[in-house]
Amino acid sequence: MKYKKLAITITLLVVAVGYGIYRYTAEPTLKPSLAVAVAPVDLVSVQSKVPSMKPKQITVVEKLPLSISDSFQLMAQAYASDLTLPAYSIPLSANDSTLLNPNAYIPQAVLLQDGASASIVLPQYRFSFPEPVVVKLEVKGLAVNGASVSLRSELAGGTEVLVAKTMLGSDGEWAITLDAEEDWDGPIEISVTFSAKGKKQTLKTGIEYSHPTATITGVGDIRAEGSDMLIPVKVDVELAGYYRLRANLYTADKQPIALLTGSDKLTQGSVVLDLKAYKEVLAQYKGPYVLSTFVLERRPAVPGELTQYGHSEEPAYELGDFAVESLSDEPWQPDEQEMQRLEFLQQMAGD
Amino acid sequence: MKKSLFLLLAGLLTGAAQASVGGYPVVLVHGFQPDNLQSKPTGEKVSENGGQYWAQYWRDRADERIDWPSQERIANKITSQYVWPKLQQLSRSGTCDSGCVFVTHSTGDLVMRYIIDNQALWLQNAGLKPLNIVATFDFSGAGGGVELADLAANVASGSGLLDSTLKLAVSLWLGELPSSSNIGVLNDLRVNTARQLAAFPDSRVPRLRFAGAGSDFLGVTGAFLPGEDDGVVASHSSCGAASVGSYNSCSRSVAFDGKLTSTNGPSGFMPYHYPMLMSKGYSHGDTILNSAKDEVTSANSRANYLNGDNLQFSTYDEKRGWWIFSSRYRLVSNSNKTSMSALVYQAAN
Repeated sequence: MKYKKLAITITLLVVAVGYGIYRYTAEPTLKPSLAVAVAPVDLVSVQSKVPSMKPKQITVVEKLPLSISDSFQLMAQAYASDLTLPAYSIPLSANDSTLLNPNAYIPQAVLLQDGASASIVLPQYRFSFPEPVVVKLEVKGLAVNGASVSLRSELAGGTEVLVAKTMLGSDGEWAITLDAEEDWDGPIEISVTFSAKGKKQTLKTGIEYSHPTATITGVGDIRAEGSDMLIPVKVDVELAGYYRLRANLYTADKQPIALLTGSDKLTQGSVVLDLKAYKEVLAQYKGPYVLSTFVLERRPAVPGELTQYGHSEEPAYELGDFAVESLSDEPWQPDEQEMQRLEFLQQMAGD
Repeated sequence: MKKSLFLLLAGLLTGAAQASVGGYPVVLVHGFQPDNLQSKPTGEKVSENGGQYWAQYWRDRADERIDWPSQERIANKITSQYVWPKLQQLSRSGTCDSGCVFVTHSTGDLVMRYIIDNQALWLQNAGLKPLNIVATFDFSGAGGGVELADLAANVASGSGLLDSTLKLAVSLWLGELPSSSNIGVLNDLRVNTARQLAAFPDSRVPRLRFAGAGSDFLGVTGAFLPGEDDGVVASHSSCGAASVGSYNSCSRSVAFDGKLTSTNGPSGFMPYHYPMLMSKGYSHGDTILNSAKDEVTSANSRANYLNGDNLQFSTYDEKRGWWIFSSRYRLVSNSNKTSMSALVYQAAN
């Protein structure tokens, strides 16, 4: 009943506005650009835009009622879709910029007086000893007289300056290459101080600098294991611990195929950490394959311990050809907890 | 006497049954509390603050809370002194044996990601059973970092040439200008640092995102945040976007206010992050309160909503000589009367 009254009111409004427009409008000069879409909508309000002399348009606002369970249903479907593949072998596309560049540094511009801005620009977020750290300062809209950089540890009590240097530069861009020292390890704060207009300003950012706790030295022969292509990655471990390796699998012409993850407790010395590529993610891609974009973490074994990192001797390893058809076809089965999560989401959706 | 004891027990049992989402116990993980940077609370005070943080809606609907002080860092004392004792307690008590749902707000999202990535290993190493985390509900999640934290770190290091509006924005957020001596968890919230902390947990816990686009600071802070924001967190973070970007919505076909239109939404999300609901009028803090601030829309879309004709239409009435422009909004029923948190809770129970 309430809606009926509302509909009548709206109809009267439309007629009134329409009549007004009809009285004052100019001759039509345009043709419809889109057909009227017919949909079962709840028309709840009409707003008119009536110019003082020649009114030409009205705006109709329609509200489509939505049940919250619909939203949960869509999410449950999305999660179910994610569970069709194993977590250790996730398909990649060229759009997965973050997964393809897991060590990217994102400059954060800082607004200065009179519309000027400044940012610290770094080539990456994590560095591995003895990699140098190249620090750039980009300033727009302000003439900088001089700039300097200093590094210090972000760990508690890390007040000691690790290194301090004057930056070289001109035309709004200042830069310095800092050669690493033995005691750089862990989260490090980078401070860049510059002067302009007789004032000084300091910008800060953070990076991760690691003494590699393990080194990837090569890749063994790939082989079939059930429905997976198994990639044995050779690792020289300096510090034993719980390791997780992520690497991206590519075609020979650098098309991304899959993000592979392997975890294991590794002892000191030369060991092998296996990565696996599930058949379904390989199906569209022919070999030879290439393994690259390594992130080797030594995970905190106890709370309060920090994540440490390993590195790779080479940026990429060629894996050669592989007969994907030799892999078995059994579908992936999510584990018990994953199924419970899916059931929870389906329950929220009212399925 | 027996009857009253029975009623008391029944009441307690009823209360216990209410403290759940979809039948699972609820654990709360709160967000950044700016005043902690000065007051540096410890022990009981941290717990008291945590209780107040959730008082308006979720506190009495939860079984447990993980409370932590904002003057510390996540991977250091927040974890070793505050998160870890609670994880052990949850494991020993068996609270999560059959499954738990975690509800997080703001920085609690980032703390939670660190928990999801590490809890099983730590508890196993301590001879304890890992927690069975069924899902997380992340309100105004800051797991993708907070640009204001980067700016606060710069303001704290001296403000000789900084724009005065920027300083105002940081002071509005924090309540005062920060000093360089202690910015605590703000270090973890810097965009680069946050996005690298436990970036990709192995465990496939679904992370349900609930985002707002209002502001408690009259839009002053929003000038320094990319895309739409809730006054503190940009949508790339609250939506759980895979990449930092200037996004106008969590969806590419629905705006924050529910308007069906082509928007600049994220093309991908962090692993197992699913945007669920969003609303134009909810500020950063509003999403966990108990009052309706605005109508709420769904942040995910059926394919048919992506059809261009369905988003909006315009037509020309040749006879009368006027254009009709139509805008369509998709809105959760009764969301003008029910808070976002209550909508979620009611849907789950």
